[in-house]
Amino acid sequence: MKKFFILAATALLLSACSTLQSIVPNVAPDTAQSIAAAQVSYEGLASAAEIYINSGKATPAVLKSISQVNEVAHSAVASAVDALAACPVDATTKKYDSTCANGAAVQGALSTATSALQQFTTLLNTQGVSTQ
Amino acid sequence: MNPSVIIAIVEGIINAVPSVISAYQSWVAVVNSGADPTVAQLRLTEAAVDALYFKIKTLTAAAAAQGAAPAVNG
Repeated sequence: MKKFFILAATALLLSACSTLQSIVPNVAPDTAQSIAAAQVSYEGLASAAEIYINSGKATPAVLKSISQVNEVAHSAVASAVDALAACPVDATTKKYDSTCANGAAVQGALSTATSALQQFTTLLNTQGVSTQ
Repeated sequence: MNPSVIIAIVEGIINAVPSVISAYQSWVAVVNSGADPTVAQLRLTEAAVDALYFKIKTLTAAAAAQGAAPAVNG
């Protein structure tokens, strides 16, 4: 019974992953869309981390590392959102002001967030946790 | 590995994946529309991000306190 459940659950999981891989944007995301993507990326990483922690396989040292990268990544993503939210929005195009969105403050925050998310990804991958 | 642990991991993945797929699909829809996410949309997602952040913070602290032996269904 347990083997059947595991096989069925694995099939569902593979189906879900297949669905995710088949969905891609038709155009390259701009800065604002990249920041939104960073939020989605954080959600995926945190969900993967939660599952890994609950598996009981994490050592105290790894738990400490997860805690640290979680703090850094969350803070960096939140800072990027705050930086972008400070930019004016064009009422017609519904786009953020490009000069502001492409400015040092927003781009720097996005770069920091991207780097922090990469560290989170690397840590989980090092522990054998898939983040795809 | 204990079968109950395997089941717990798979259950956890299945529970987590749909919400991540949903968030990803929403993001793709925004990109394809050509519009930028509004501040309200970003803040809405931020609330979900915050919830996960506090969850991981609590889980790591609890696991560390228990000598890396956290509850399976956290």
